Order: sequence, then C-alpha cells, then structure tokens
Amino acid sequence: MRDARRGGELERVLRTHAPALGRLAASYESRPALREELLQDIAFALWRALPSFRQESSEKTFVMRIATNRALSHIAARPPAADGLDAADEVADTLPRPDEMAARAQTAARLQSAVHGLPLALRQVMVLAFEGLSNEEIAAVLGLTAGNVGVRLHRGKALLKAALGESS
Amino acid sequence: MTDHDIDRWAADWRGNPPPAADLARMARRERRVIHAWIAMDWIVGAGLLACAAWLWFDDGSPTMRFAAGAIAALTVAALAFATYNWRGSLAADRESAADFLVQAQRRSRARLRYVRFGWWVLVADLVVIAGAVSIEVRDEGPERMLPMLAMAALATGAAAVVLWWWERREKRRAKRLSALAKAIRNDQEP
Repeated sequence: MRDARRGGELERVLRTHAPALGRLAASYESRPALREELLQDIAFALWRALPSFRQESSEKTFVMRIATNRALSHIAARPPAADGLDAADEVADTLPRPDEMAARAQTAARLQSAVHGLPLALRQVMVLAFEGLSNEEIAAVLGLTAGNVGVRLHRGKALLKAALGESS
Repeated sequence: MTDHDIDRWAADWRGNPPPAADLARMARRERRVIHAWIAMDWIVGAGLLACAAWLWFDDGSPTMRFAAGAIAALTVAALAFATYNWRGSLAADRESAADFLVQAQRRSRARLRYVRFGWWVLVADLVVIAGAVSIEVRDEGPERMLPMLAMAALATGAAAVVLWWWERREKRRAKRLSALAKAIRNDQEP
C-alpha cells in the first residue's frame, strides 16, 4: 500500500519535472547513452529521496537538488571528453555566427552548446536560472549564498553573451 | 527573475524540450538492478560462509579450520562494507551540491582506506597460507603442497587483481571529485 502510494507520487513528480530533468541531464552529459544512464540514476535517487521530502523547499528545488547531485556524481565517475571545466574561453571561437542561424531550434541548440561550454560553477547556476529557480532557490540547491549566486549569474551572462556573439 | 537576458535565454532553453523519456520506467529498472546487485552480494556471501562451514566441519584439521576461519572473517568484512556502501551511496542526495561534494569526497577516502586495508589483509593472508602449508608439509608430507600452493596463488592473484582495479578506479574518482570541488570553489565570491 505504502509502496503503491510512493510509486504513484514518484510517477507524478517525474511526469511534472521530466522536461527540466532532461535538460539538466543534457547540460551535464552530451553523450546520449550516458545521458540516459544519468536520467535513470536521477529517477532512482528521486524514488529513494521522495519519502524524506518535508516541504521545506519547493518541490522543484528539491528535485533539482537531487538531480544536480546525481549529475555531479555522474561526471565524477564518467568524466566527459571535454567537460567544460576550463573550456569557457574556447566557446566563442567554436560556435557558428548568429547570422547563420534562423530557426528557433537552432537558437536553442546554440544556447545549449554555449551553456555546455561554460565552467561548471557557472553552468550550474545558469541552468537552474533557466529552469525558473530564484537566486535563493539556486543558493539552496548549490549550497551558496544568494549574493554568490548573483555574482555567478553575472559572470555566466557575460560568458554566454561572448559565446553567442551578442554585444553586452 | 526580471533579468531580460536570463528571461530570453530561459524561453529559448525551455522551448527546446528534450526527447521524452519514461523516467518512471527508468527508476523501476534501476531499482531492479540495484536490488539484484545487493541480492548477489548476499548470495555470494552466503555461499562463501557455507563453504567455510563445510571446510571447518568436514576436514577438522587445524590447517583447514584456520582457512575456514579466514574465509568467514573476510566474507563478513566484505558484506559489512557492501552494506555500508549501498546504504551510504545515495544518502547525501538531499544536501546542497557543496555539502554533497564534501560527503562524496569523504566517502571516496573511506573506500580508498578500505581498499588499502584489503592489501594488508592480503599480506596477512599470505602469511597464514605460508604457515598452513608448512604445517601441512610437516604433518602430512609434501604430497599436497603443490595443489595447495596453486590454489593459494590463484585465490591471492584474483584478490590482488580486484584490489588493484578497485584502487585505480577509486583514485581516479577521488581525483575527479577533487577537481570538481576545486572548479566549483574557484568561482566563489571574491
């Protein structure tokens, strides 16, 4: 009975947050097979952690915290070929020019590629901001101060603009 | 969030939905895999303990009883570690990423200590084997010495390969965790 309720709750949470979890996983892991492995790991971690969710934070914050930690654990075990820890400087040179892009999907792909090239500390903050978390919620997920999140967002924005070829 | 750039990027970001994944099915599959691993640990452990009990009662010689005791002790130690490892592997997920990394590094160090302890156990095992073989040779003559030495070499070699592989893997993971922690720390507020 308890297991069934837990299973139902998990299904609801996974259904609600699946797109955000998919995008978060993609920002940490670009290889499709490993991304699926990471998503599976996140889904299992959520199943384990859900009974301890006490509404101290929003459900989204809770879910993103679990997913972020699983993603960190994933990249610690399976280092990407080019992990973006120091790759920010290279991003601007490797992306296509804006005038070559038209469609929305291409814009999104360029953005995703640029985000993937950000240093990890900035990438984490930017991805969570894109998923609609406030500075305070991002701080709670990452264990930072809200001020620190603001500083990182500022730096992340500058690097993203450079990578996307936008003027400041 | 009222930042214009963030809002614009967030719209682009969220406007590109990833391929649909059945996360609930993935969770069930992962649960089955983890449960199978845990069950396998216990089945192998129970098999080894049964083997130790058989050696203890069947032969009854001090040498075999010593070997049986060593097998049982190592099996219990390995099962205790396996239980600790499974229970702790997901325990820190509810913490913030910074705390999670600290705990992950602590766990990684604990695993490395466990592997290093394993090397000492292996050395102790070699001393025990040497003692057992010499007792056997003294009491029963050299006939069974070669098969005993071959079996001991096989078991010790297999354990050494596992320990070597495991230590290498843990060292890589520890190095990677340290790089991640550094990468995150390096962007602290000045």
